[in-house]
Amino acid sequence: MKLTFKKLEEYDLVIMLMAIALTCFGVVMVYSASSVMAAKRFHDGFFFLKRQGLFALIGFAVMLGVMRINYQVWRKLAAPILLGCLVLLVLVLIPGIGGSAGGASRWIRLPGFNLQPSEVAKLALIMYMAYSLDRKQDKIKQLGPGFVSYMLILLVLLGFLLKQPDMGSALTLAAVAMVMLFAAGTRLVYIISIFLMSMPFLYFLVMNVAYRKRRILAFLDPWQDPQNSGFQIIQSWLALGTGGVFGQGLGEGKQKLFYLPEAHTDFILAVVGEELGFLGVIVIIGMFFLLVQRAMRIAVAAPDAFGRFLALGIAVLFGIEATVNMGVVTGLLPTKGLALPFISYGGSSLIISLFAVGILLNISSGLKISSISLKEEK
Amino acid sequence: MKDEKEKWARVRIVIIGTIFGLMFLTVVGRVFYLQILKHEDLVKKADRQHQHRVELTPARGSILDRNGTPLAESIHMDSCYAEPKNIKDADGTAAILAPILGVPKQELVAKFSSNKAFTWLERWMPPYTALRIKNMKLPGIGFVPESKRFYPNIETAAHVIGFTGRDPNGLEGIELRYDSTILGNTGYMITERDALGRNISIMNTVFKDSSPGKNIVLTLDKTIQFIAEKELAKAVTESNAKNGMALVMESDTGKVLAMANYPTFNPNSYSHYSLAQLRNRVVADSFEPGSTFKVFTIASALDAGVIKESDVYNCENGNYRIADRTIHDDHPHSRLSISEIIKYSSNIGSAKIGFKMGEERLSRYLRNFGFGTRTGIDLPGESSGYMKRNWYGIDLATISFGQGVSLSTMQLVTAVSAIANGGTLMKPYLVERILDDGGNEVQHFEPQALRRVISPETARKVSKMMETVTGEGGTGTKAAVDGYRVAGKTGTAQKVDPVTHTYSPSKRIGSFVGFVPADNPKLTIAVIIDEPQGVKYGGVVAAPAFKGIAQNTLAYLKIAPNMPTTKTPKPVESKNAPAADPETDSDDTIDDSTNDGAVMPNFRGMSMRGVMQVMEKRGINIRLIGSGRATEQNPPPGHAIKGTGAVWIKFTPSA
Repeated sequence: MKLTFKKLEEYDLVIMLMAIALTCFGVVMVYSASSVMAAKRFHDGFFFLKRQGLFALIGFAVMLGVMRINYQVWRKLAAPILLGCLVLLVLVLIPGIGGSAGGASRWIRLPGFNLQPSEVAKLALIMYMAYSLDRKQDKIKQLGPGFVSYMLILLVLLGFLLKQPDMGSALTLAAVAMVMLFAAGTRLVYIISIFLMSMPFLYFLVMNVAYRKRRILAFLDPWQDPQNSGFQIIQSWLALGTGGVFGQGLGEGKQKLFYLPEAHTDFILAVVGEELGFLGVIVIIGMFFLLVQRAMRIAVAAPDAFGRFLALGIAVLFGIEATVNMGVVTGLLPTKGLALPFISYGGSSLIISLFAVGILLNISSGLKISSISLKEEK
Repeated sequence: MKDEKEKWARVRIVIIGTIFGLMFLTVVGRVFYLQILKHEDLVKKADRQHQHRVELTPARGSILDRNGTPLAESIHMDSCYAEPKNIKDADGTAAILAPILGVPKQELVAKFSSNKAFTWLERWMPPYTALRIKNMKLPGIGFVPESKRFYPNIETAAHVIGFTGRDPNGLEGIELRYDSTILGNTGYMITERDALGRNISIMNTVFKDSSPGKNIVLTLDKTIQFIAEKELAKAVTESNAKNGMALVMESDTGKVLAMANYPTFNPNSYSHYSLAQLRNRVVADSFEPGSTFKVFTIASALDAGVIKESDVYNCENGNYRIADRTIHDDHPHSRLSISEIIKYSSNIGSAKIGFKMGEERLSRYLRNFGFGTRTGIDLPGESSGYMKRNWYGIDLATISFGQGVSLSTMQLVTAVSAIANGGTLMKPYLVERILDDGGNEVQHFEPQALRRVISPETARKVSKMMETVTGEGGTGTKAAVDGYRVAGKTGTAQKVDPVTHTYSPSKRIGSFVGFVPADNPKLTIAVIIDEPQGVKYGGVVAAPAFKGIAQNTLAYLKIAPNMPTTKTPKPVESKNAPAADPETDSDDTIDDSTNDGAVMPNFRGMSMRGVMQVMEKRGINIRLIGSGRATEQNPPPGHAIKGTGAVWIKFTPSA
């Protein structure tokens, strides 16, 4: 592992700033959203604040460390990491190792920390695809090596994820993979066909599982059943709507008081909306947009194809996670368990995200990103 | 070629970036729609969810008797509720609670699985049960303190106090009449609740504090009330009557000291009784008074100067034809003095006096006595009784002896009190003082004189005449109280059948109304027995209860007897004590050392006044005929007094 020590200005400080700002903001919001619930459940209002704060510190350290690791390292490590990740995804399904919550086994219990392999899998897949797409650039238009091989890997990953079950991560993974293939130049026909082919399967997945079916129906008309399946999205709307332009003020929200389920995790944006209003939400959206745009620019400006695919994959990951989460919270998309990166409570997600930011930062080092345009570069 | 590829790769990245940009824009649009456009609508919806208007039920003030003994109190009890939303294990919770609450488990399961946010399980739970359930800390089961009315004396004064409904409002009696005073103001607060239904914050909430209710101090005396109820119950049960009423009033002030209905009820569980049994008949029911009414006819006539005390009327030996009707007397007499008309309760005599008064004057006097209008007693549902506006045919005659007119017990006692207190009609009342929750007096009610009805002199004369009723030979001897002079009047009225509107051949109302001590009246007491079986005379069915109430109440109030007892002393005393009673030594001219009321003293040569003093002391009743000095008497001195009609003294004006 080669560590490079460059001056801070060499890196894309905008993206670093965004990541740090979003993380810090997340810690504050996690506290606001969870304190009452934590006080009741753990008799410690600071329970989630302390943990998320610690994750943030670890995450920053990871980011600053990874930032100094030449990203070419991940080219060599991509396959082993993906393999290791597959092992974790198997382990998480074994009772006794995997910790479960709400009928899903998503964590591997480690001392003092629960590791969520699906978060690791997202980055592992991105790394592996970047590595692989870089190698197969010439065969990318071919069905076999350019498409089916990735589909097989994806199928294995999705199989394990759906077994947990973790539909949100599975769909995110699939979307990231498709967008990366598209960016690499896979024929659009393949992508569209696989999408059409997966529709009956998706339909089966949704309609044969009672809670997913209810979520879809609740998404279509939450007021049909406001007390049960429609409850979460209605509570989210009430939170956002109550916020208005300026919000109720930090800490003043009421929806988090046991009305809004998952207030400190998946639905944290609703708490932001209630307490900081439309302006607060716009700032968050703006920051995410900026983050994704910067990552895209790094991809465009990346010195090689691996770096480009890597940066793009990470940008797509953040972009999909953020927009899908926001879509769910605002009722544009049906509910699925998907965290808002950097902000939602969760150590695995936060540390992996900051890890990914570290990679982006390393790719960005030495690039003049602020002036990147279509024609530019070289 | 490679450049071309690189270029396309960048184009594709730009496409992806643009798509993300559009996605973010969509979210922004959506957030704008929710937060700005739908803001007010969603705020309303959220408020409905967060805010809950909690009524702060004020505890009702207490109702106390005049000595401060509580008659009605409010206690706090826990009401148990369920929030089905928060019950995770409906079946398990129901299984635990079913045996404790004594309800079928299935009923609870249904409640717990319902879609409601809130449902009562049991209101006003016994404290021990509440504690047991509280200790279990079952999720979704909660408690809220609620005020419950409690009547510690069970049936005592139930009809006066009334009762309250489930919501804390008074439904009857003082509870109803003074509801707003006792209840105070219901406060409310807008609390914000979290999804568990707990109140989370009282900041920024609109408050209207509940003010604790005020306490009511009645004129009622629990002990006298108890006495009245006990005596009334005895009278009603002994005569197998349908029901009965008793009323004790302070003669001078109009303060109600006791008001009893029998049968009574338990206000703690009023819903178990029929409406008829809950009615306070003393104020709500009116009835034809019958003979007790003669007192007012004669008082009016005396006051108007139409008749004199010394007048004697021909009572037609019990049958008197007026127009097409014949008026009967139960005890036929030929000639009766005014006093005797009261004493023997002569309908004919009363009718003749009525005629002498004339409709206009009698009607005016009777209205002044308060008949036909509500007394204004501070109780709900008072009846005004019935006084005809225009009298026809024999109305004047029948009204003169109490037929064709109806009144409530309240009116009767109020009017008799006017005779007792020297002629002033007082407004009767039940509430003496109102205290705030700290016990400070906020209002005091004073006796209120309505009008002078008759002169003090007339009142005194009528009072004297009424004393003869309880004296030897009167219709109300059973009302006599040892050691006190008792003025009163019996009544035995035919009841009007509500179906046929004619007088029932068998149904009667036996009554006795009077006041003690007659020479310085303190208490006006009426006992009304509705539909007694067997002997129906007021002097038989009601008078003993009057006596019981008067005797016990006088003793309780420590009103000293001012007359020697007429009965033979108790055996133990008579053995040791000499026959002579020093109290009977009077400065009267009569030499009477035997103190034997049953023996006729020698009255000859005495003034009427002197004779009356002896009569008072001895408690004997003698017909006094004529005026001047006693010239003749029957029986002769030293002979035993037997019967009633045969004892008389004739006076002859001194030359």
